[in-house]
Parts: sequence; C-alpha cells; structure tokens
Amino acid sequence: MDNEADAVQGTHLQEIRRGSVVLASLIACRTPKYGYGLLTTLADVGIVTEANTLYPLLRRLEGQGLLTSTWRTDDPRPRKYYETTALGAETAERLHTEWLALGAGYDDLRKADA
Amino acid sequence: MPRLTDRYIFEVVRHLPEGQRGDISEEIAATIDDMIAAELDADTGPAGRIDPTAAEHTVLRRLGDPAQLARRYSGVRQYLVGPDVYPVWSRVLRWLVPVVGTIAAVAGGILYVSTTPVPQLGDLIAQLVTSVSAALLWAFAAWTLVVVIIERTTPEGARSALSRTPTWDPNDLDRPGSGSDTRADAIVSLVMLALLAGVPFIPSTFLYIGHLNGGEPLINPDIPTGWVVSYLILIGVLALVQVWRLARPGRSRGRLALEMATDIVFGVFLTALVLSQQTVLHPDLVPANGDGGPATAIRWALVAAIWVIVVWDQVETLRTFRRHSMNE
Repeated sequence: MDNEADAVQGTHLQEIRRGSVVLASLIACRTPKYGYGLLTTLADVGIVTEANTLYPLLRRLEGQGLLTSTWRTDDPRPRKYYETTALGAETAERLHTEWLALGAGYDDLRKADA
Repeated sequence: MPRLTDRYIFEVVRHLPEGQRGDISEEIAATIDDMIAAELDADTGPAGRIDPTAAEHTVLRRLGDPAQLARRYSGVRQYLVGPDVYPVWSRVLRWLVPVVGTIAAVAGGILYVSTTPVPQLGDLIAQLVTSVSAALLWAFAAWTLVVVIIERTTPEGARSALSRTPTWDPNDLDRPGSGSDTRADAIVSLVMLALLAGVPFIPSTFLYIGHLNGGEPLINPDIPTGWVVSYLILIGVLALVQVWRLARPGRSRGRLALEMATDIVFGVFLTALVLSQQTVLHPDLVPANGDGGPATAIRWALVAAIWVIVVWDQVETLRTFRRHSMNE
C-alpha cells in the first residue's frame, strides 16, 4: 500500500476514533479516573488515544458539564480525577444508542454485499 | 521534577490564560510523572539499566509540540475567517475593493492637485498608487477585523450574524435564482449603501487631508439641503430594494429592472449634483482657478468615477442574473 493510501486511511481512522474517545471517556469515568489512568484504561480495551488529545478533551467535556473534576492529594502524587455527571451519563447513553444503531447499520450493509 | 519537564510545562501554559495555568500545570506535571514511571517500568534500556532522562525525552516527544498542546487546551478557533462567514466576507471584499479603490484614487488625485503648484503626471501616478494601495489595505484589514470580531463573539455551534442564510429549504430551488446568493448580495449592497449614506458627514480627517480644510466634511457644506435630503432618500430607496431581496430572495425580472433603473437614476442624480454645483467637494479641497483648471478636472473625474461604479454595478447585476438563469 502506498503512502498516499496510508495517509487517506489514517485521516478516516482519526475521524472515526475522535467521536468514540468522547463516548469511551464518558463511560469509563462513571467511576472517577485520573488522566493517565483513563489513558491506560482506554488503551487496555483497544481504544488508543494520545495524552495530548485526551487531556484537552477532558477539560472540554468538563466545560460542557459532562464531566466534573476534583484534585486528590492523598495519592502518592496529586492527581485530578474526572467523573461523569448526570448530564454526561445521559449523553453517553444517547451516544451509545447511536453507536449501536450505526454498528447494526454497517453490519447490514456488509451482509447485503456478501 | 526533571528540569526538562518544567521547561515543557512552562512552554505549554505561557500560551494559556492566567486563570488556567496553575491547574493545567499541575495536571500535565502529574501526567508526565505517571508516563515516565510507566516508561521506566516497561523499559530498562539496552544495558539493562533504567535511564530516566531517556524516559523523560520519550514522554515529552509523545506529548508533542507544547504550542500545539496549548492550542488544544485553549480551544481557540485556529483560523481567521471560518467557512460559515467566508462567503459574505469574500463577497463584501469584491465590492469594497473597487469602490474604495475608486474613492481613494479620486481623493488622492484631489490631494495632489490641491497641494502641488505644478502638477506632473508621474507624480500624480505615484500619489495615486500610494493612496489607493494604503486605502485598499485599510479596507481589507478593517472589514476582516469586523468579521473576525463577529465570528469570535459568536458562541461555538451558534449561527453568526454573517451567515449567508438562517435556514435553507428545498423550496428555494423552485424559486428563480439562488436564495442564499441573493441574500448575500443584498447584505453586501446594504453595507455599501450604509457607507455611501455616511459620505456627506465624513470629515476630511478620515482621508488624512484634514489639514486642507480644518477637518470639516469632505462635501461642500454650502450644497443646498434639498440635494443632501434627496441623496439620502435615493439611498433609502436603493436600500429598500435590497431589503426586498433579503426578505424575498430569488430572481425576478421586475426587480432586476427596478434595480437597474434606480442605479441609473442615482448615477444621473449624482452627475447632476456634481455638474450643478460650483464644487461638490469642500471648497478648501478644490483650488478655485476657474474653468479648464484643476477644479474642472476634479469635477469630470468625479463624474467618470460615478459612471464607472454605476456601469460596473449594472454589469455585476446582469452577470448575477444570468448566472442564476443558467441554474433554472
């Protein structure tokens, strides 16, 4: 595969992952998570994202009222924990429903072509 | 904390608002510590020994350019004129540039003729190039700044005041011409008419020639009030036609005829005004050396400028009308 095709695929993969990181963060933060802990949690389940993308995203979600944050200083290192709010949980539910519907749609399309 | 990490964090937060710096500094510091610890756990180096400096380098490289990270944190829109307002921005420029260029050329010519005892063509051209290029740069910068401010003060996701059309309906396709194009044209025309309406009241200082007439208006204050009132009424009529286009966009032969007729009437009115007055510009801006001298040259230059703009406007209106006809 040539570099141009790689670049095109990379762009589309990035697009499809961007929204999925929001949903994954909202689901994962139902129990409070600090930034790096969330990063590894997501990576463990195959949702790979970069720290320089995730941290600004967490602040944006906090600004939108979907996450709330608190500093915990009782850990060996002071860490900022993020937790999904009620609005965040409601948003995650809607996004998840949409995600399932899209997944079902893709499956139907693939089966129709097979 | 390693010194390199401190410098990295400083580079990130110095681009951010004061109130966010402390919180973000601590968060990035905690993250870098965690990432370095993870690197050290995972990699013991080629000699089997842990290398904290290499781990720090690896982590900072993964975090990437601090300026880029700061931009992501700030959430600032990283463009000057966004796609939502670009059509109106570019369309206004298409009108603003020739009109401002013409006005600047006339003003530059007047300034040169009024202040030079023995005018020479080469000097005049240099004067015009200077005044026109400066005016075009100012017009471009001022209009862009207005658009940038409007866009930056519009909340993310909301529709800006300069959006081409608040809603679009498939029924617009059934109307002659493109509704959004017509609306954008109407907005541009209304902006230009507002500028024209202000001309009688613009002080000469606005064009940096205030020293010639003590900062009084560019226009001769002795012009009878009736002319000025008629001028404003005509602009009002032209504005009403544009408001009609805004409210009922689309292509209409009747409105095209009305637009072209009012434009010509306006051109004739301005020509009559310029020719009937001793001078339409402030007398101190025009040397009174009788017919055949600079005053006459300025008068005919104004008439020429008026008709250049009127004809150009007619051509643009017809071109737009024909373009819309092809879409039918």
